[in-house]
Amino acid sequence: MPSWGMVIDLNKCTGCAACVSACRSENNVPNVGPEESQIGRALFWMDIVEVVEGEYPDVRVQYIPRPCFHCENPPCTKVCPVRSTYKNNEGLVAQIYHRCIGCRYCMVACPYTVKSFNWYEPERPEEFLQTCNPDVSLRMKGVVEKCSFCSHRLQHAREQAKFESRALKEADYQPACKEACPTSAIVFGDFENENHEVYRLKKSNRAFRMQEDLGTEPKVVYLSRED
Amino acid sequence: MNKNIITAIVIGIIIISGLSLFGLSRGPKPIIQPIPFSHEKHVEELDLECSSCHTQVTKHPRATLPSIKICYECHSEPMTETEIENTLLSYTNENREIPWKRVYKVPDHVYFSHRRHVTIGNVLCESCHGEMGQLTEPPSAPLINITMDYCMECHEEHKITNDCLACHR
Repeated sequence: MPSWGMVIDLNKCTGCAACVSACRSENNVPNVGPEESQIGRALFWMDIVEVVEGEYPDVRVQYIPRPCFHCENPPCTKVCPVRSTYKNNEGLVAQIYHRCIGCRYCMVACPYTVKSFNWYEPERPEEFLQTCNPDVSLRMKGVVEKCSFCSHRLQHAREQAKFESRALKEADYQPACKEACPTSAIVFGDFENENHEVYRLKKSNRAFRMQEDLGTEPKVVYLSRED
Repeated sequence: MNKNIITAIVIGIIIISGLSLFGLSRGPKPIIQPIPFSHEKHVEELDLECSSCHTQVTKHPRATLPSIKICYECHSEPMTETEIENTLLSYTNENREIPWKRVYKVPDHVYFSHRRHVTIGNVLCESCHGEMGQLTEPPSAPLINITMDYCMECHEEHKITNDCLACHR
């Protein structure tokens, strides 16, 4: 069974946020107004966390892209009372919106705050509906959503591979953020497959995971910045 | 006193039965197609395959409703003198698409692919669509009510994954 994961090289990330906008268009992530955003109700599947290091005038900003970490040992799935969020046998932490009751336990449980809640009925002008990606369902008010590692692309890729009677290749299944990254800071693949680039990269001596001491074993590995 | 109670009960029954009749009449709207197309004539009599008209069924996630060009391939000249064919010819002569209405739909959070089922899984059309080939008139509602249970039972029977992410998104 594959174990899908991501490696993000902080050396290469320039904080351009191409991954953020690619993710928003790919996954029909709803927008909220400025007031709602001010009180922390904006929705992000992929976000850029800015860490300012040093003191003026010697400051520098570290940009850290932050998708869902699809933990090997996810705290969010353990608290879901309706099994709306669960980890499947390929290591993807799924969120099934129509099963979600909006209790938000998972949002509290997630130490990385990657989950967003739909506080409002999503408002899209009629014309915008035609620009939505039909491969991802539109969420409704009162449900939690998060990065899915573009699992809808896996459905397509696997079907296409079977249709052509061949095995799934590394390039077949790549999430939107990875595709959009202009510096190739994001690499995606199967952590169990020796031929995939992530297999080699995750063993780098620069590799680290967020808050490793929590024991959540995230499947998003960062490569620390070299000075 | 007794009379009052009886009157109240009678009025109550009338109101309840009225409401339930109103409720029953408000089921899903029957689907009326622009042309009373006979599947039976095409499939049983003329021995056409489903994929002859629903051309994408084996190679695409969507089976597609037939375009007017497909009708025109056989009906470029009138084949009969029926009223139904005259209606069809009015569409073909003007090269106008027939506004067919979809009968089978899955919700937008469900991913269903025809190619995946028909070509990869060798599932027969009848398994989900019922005996459409024997209908002399278009159905006003799906012959089989496709629910999640219906899908999952078949998946279980054929040892296909029932992982939520296999179909939902």
